[in-house]
Amino acid sequence: MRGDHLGEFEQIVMLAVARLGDDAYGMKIRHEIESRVGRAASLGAVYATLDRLVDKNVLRVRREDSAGRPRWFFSLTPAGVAALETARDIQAKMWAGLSLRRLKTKS
Amino acid sequence: MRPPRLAKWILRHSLPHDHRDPVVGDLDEEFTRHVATSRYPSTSRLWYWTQVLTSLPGAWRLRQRRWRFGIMSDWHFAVRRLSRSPLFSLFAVLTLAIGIGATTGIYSAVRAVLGPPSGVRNIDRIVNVYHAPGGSSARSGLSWPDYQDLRARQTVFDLMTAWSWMSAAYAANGQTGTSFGEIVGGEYFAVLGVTPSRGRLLQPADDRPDAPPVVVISHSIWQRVFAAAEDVVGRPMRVNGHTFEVVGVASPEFRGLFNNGLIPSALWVPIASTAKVYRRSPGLAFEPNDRESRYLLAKGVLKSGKSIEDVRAELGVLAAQLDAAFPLGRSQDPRVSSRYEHNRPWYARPMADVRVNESASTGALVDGMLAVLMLAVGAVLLVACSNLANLTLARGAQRQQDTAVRLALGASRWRLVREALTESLILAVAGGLLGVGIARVITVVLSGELAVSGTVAVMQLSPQFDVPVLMVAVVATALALLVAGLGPALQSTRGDVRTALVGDGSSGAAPRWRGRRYLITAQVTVSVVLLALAALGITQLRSIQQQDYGFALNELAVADVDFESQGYDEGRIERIVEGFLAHMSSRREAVAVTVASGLPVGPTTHRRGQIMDAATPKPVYAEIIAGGSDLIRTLGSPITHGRAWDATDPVEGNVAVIDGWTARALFGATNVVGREVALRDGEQPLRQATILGVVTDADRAGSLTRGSALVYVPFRRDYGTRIVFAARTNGDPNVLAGVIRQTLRSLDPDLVLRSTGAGPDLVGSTAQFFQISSMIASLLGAFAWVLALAGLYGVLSHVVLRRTREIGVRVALGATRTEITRMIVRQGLSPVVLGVLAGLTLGALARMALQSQFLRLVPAMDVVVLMVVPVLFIAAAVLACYLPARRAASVDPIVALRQN
Repeated sequence: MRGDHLGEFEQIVMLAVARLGDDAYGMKIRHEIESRVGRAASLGAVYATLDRLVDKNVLRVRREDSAGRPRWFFSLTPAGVAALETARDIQAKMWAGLSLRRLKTKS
Repeated sequence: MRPPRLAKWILRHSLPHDHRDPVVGDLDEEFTRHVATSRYPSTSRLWYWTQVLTSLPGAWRLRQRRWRFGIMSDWHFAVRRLSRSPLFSLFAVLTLAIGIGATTGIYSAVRAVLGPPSGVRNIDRIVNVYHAPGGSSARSGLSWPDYQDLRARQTVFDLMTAWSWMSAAYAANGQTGTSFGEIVGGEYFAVLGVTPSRGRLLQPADDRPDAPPVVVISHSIWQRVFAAAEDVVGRPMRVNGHTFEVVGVASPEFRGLFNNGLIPSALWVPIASTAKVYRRSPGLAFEPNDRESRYLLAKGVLKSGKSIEDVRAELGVLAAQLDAAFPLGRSQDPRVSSRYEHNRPWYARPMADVRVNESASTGALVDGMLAVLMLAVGAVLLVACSNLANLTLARGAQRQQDTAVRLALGASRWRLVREALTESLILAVAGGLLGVGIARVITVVLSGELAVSGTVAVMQLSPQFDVPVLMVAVVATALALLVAGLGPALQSTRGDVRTALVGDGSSGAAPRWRGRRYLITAQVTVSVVLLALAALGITQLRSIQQQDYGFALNELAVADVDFESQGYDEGRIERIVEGFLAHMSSRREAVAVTVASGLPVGPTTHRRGQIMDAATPKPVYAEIIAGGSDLIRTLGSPITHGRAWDATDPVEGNVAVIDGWTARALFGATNVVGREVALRDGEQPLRQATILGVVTDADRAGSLTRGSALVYVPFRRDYGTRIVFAARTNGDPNVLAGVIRQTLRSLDPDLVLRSTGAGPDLVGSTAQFFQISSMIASLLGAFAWVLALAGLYGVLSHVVLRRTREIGVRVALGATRTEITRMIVRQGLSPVVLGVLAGLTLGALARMALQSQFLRLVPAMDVVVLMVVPVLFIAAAVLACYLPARRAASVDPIVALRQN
């Protein structure tokens, strides 16, 4: 795997692709992010990230003509799945046994 | 409702090519949904604009990534393709390296010869002032009083100085030597912007008549004679028999102005010391304060706002004033003197225009020759580049199908051109770097001291590897890239996609053969011209070496001594001369022995003068050689009429022996024994002489056009102070030269010899010139020859490959191997034959043009060129064609027809 570290926005984009399954193309991915995270992402930023993730070999792209125009559909590669799992494991390990409420009361 | 067109256009064009349709499509789809679902559809256009504007940074990042990726992939692709054909890559890099290296290296050498003297600052503001324009250095000097008046009255210069060169015999720190030195005014170093590396330089105070005698030495003398001693300042040094105190050392890069800095000066003494160190011509009294003693060259630094025209205008006025106040040439016989001896035709020239020496005619000659040299070098670079272009084109044609497939699949032409250019860039940069290395080697090889045979002069060439030279390398590389890269890249991607895909890539009868044919013809032409010129140099060299000089040069051994600069008086000189004659006459290996003021060839150890028929005074410039009683016998010049003088002739007798050329020039006949002539020897008054004998023509100028008479006269009263000791032998003249050296040493251990050696060494400098120039031309010609034929081979191989199928058809239809071979060889040979013919024609024209300039009687074409060059080219071309032709002839028709 070329990119062994995923940034926050990269993880979000990959999770959106994973959620959308076979229907993961630019507009859908953007909507998925917007509706779940509540944060607007520009189409340019989404495509730049997708391009980088393809380059890192964690996403693959296929070109299809549908609805009378070319669309790029994205899907996770096995390396992408592994990268997401690693990211989740790291997060889980770091969160294990940690209580934010206790930290708040201390401060 | 439709999305705003401008916003859509902006988005499209800010995205990389492949992203345009999917991204714009996505946004359009969203826009449609926005219009349908929004409570305020009228805001949708605004929404679209916002989306486009916020997407621009991301789009820009995408573009950047594409660009970086594109460059990297072009680079990887090019390296991969080049490494797949290592022979081509190696050939291309070597071709370019030699082309670029030769151009750059020779340019730096040319700059070293032609450029300004090193170590001089602000040369563009310095103007040289001469007594008369052009001509010999003897005509161009100013007298010390004239110079002082000029300096006091002028208003155009901030600073002025004067200088002159001299022969210097020096002794210091237990060592002796002879070299050139300079007599300079106090502002000399200030005008030139030279700094000292030790002690101080000369100052205006040193010009005072009562100033103590001081000397500034060159950096190389400091190192060689004083062993780089730190305490050199204050040490004594004897110069031409007088003691001077060393006050400083000049900066290492400054080597003086003699021959524009090409021949380094060893030391600089103030003008106040002129009477001690300077002698104008052998045997003549010299009065530094006389207005007729014109020996100084003047220089000035222009005032700001003044130009060379202002200087010329003012010089005219000042010269007229001085002509009125101090007329010149009153004692001169008007019949034999020229304008510059009677008035002051003062002349100014920018110092930056000086080439090699102060004479204006030398500048033009040298400029012309070096232009020819640079043209030749440039032509070779062009051959190298066009040859590479040819091979690149051939490779491009091989890839035609590949290119067509990629174009059909949507690759842009720009992308393909970029790939091809990246390949050429790698080759050009590699070739350029290697070329810079080769140029560096050339500069190192050419650096250092080049002894000019037969004289004390040591020429110092130091080609620099500086910014202008590097610029030439960069321009040469860029040219290579342009010719060998861009042209073929554009041409090979122009292909018609359909034809290339449908065709089989090997069916063309003669793929683009015509264009390449012309390239080969042009290359062969250039190399034939270069070889023709090289042969010219070789012919000249041979003719110099085998030349009949009209006397027995090859049997002579000589030693050249300047007594005057060593402060020898008449008595001491006489003792040495008589001792030499007595001692050498007793040696068995010496057939004849003499002393003379000079020889008919070689460095100017003879006196310039004039001769004319006493009855019809029309002077002819003459070289006048005074000699002892055995002069003519020692020289071995065959006497055609009359006799030579001998010991029985009265010492005071006014007799002369002239050569056939002189007899014809003066009297229109050769038997002129007994006729009267008028002679002017140097600056002595005119005197009458009777012709005693005529000898065969002395070809005294070596390769240059004969323009002056040759007169031998017996020594009168004294021997003069510049003497050539000569002896003729039947054995090895080098051995006899050793004997002469020993004899002179034993007669006077302090004596410093300017030079000793065998006679042929005296013409060495002329021969050396032709040797060097013909060697460079031969090398360039040979290089162009190799390139042209390698190019022919490469192109023909490619053509054969492309015609495989056609050849297969021919073989299937019954063509024999011999016929196929002959066909291919004929095709390859025709441009070579055409090139040889064109080259011989152009070469003949070039030789005629050069000959009229400065070469002596050489046919426009000689046997060497007419026989050897065509054979050389055609034989090699047959070989270069035969190998591909043999491959073509061995084509199996079944395989060829099945191909693709």
